Amino acid sequence: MAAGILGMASFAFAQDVNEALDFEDLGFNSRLFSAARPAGLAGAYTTAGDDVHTLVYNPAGLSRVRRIEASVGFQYERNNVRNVFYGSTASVDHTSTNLDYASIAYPFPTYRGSLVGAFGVYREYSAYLDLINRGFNTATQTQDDFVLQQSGSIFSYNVGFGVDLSPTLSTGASFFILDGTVNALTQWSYQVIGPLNQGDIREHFLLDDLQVDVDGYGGRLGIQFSPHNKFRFGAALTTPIWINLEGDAFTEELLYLEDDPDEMYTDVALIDIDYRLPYRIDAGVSFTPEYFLISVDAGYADWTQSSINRTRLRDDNLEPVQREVVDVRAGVEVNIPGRPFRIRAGYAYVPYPLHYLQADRIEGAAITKASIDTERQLLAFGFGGLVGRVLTLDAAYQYIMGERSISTLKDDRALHRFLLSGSYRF
Amino acid sequence: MASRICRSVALSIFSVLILVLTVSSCYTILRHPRIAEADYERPSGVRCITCHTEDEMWQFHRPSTRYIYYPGWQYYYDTPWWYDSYWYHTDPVDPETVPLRWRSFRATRDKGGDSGIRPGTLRGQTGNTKLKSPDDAENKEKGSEGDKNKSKSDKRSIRPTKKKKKDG
Repeated sequence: MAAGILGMASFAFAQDVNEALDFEDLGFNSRLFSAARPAGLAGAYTTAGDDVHTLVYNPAGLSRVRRIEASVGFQYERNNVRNVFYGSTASVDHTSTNLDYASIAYPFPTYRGSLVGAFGVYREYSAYLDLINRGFNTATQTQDDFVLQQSGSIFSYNVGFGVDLSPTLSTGASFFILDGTVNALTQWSYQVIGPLNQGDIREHFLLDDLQVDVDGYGGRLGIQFSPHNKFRFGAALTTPIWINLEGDAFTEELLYLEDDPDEMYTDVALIDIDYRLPYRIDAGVSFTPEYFLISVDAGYADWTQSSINRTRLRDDNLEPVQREVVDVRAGVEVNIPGRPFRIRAGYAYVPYPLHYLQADRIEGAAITKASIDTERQLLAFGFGGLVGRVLTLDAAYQYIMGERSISTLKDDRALHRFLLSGSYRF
Repeated sequence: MASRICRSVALSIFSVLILVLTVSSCYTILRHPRIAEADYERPSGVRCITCHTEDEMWQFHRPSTRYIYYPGWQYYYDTPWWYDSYWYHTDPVDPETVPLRWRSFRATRDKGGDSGIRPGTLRGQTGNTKLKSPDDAENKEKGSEGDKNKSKSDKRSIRPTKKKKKDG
């Protein structure tokens, strides 16, 4: 009896812990650097920003917007996930084109100082993920075939302001709500290899069609200090973000039994899950010598505080499956002298918050601690120009890659993103 | 555990600091402050540079000097959209717009001797002159020979409030 209770408790733990994968599969722990200019600087925009996009990087920067600005951007991404599952390699490419953002800033006429309000819709998380784990599973002695096709974007609707507190100090705040839809089609099958008895499962197929609405909210506070017109310091605080998934899933299972009639089951289940993302602090400095902008940011988030349904995610040894992360981002922008053009490049070191992998998604095996073969990093390039004094056009390319592995699975990801932005100042 | 408490305290202090600074700030002013001694309040229609220097005007809005190597950036990033009316009280200035003037059907030599860009000749109106910058406005006011020959009403179209103050 006691063993049974312990077994149930262990199972309950495993259930919660495995759901930590949701943070990664849904893109909650991968920050998207919206808008071409910030993206070209690898997201080092806590202090470098002087446009409407500071709404999502550091609202204090809004106070530097002097003209009414309307801006829109699109992005294209190619996501490659290469998994080596029990020695068998499967590589999947997935592409998507989406609205990156649409935003507007309005500087109130002031006698002295600055007060700027802004509203913007930004693509906050990308839930696009195609994944295949296919191979002979030596642990279960089955030929496994797991396929996930997932799509969806989660947008944040931001409203905020920036205000000058003194000639050298400004602050700002923004609030956002999240909204989006995620569709996931999971198909898996396994075929038992080896001697079977009557009634044993010979093959098992599953099809799971899931659709959820995503809602959430959070806020940002920021501050910028410019003691000299060539130096600027800043910090931004992102509050915990609460996210709710609500929807339903239709499941169909087909079992081929040894020497027995086949069996088929269908099921409809409701989904209602609450996620909590932790506080995040970003701090940065930017330096603007002649013709140059040099910006360096560092961000900290304690992902051990993340939770699902108010339960923190820990393994059987109570070790957090997500970790504290410090990321570093740096960008350089060069203005072409006498020309309305500028080019930029950036690098970011953005470690994986989740350092666990799941060996067997069919079996639902408990996730196990992974070795980080290549920490997640980002390279960015971009350029832009001014057209007729009121219109800026910017483009950026980002390459994000990382690699983790456990004994039975190697997970290698590469993301190529192209961003295009246009901003008009009235 | 202790480090977590420290982090929470630091976050709380940071949040409260920003809130206090925001609430207590009085640096940013939306309207011209009332000057008690003179019982003065800027009436509508009076341009700010009637009383303030250009340097003051720029300092009030904390311009950067980053983009001076290409004037277009300066206009894009640093010129408040309401500044134009501070100087001119007219439509926003487009520095690249060449002012239009009336001329005959056949092109003839300009006898005025200036560049042909004459303040106050925009479609025969006064007070709607499009200038390249406040500095240019000064230069225009100093005037070329052609400007000096203009009527008083033409000159007032550049600095009409000076005249108004004297009148007042």
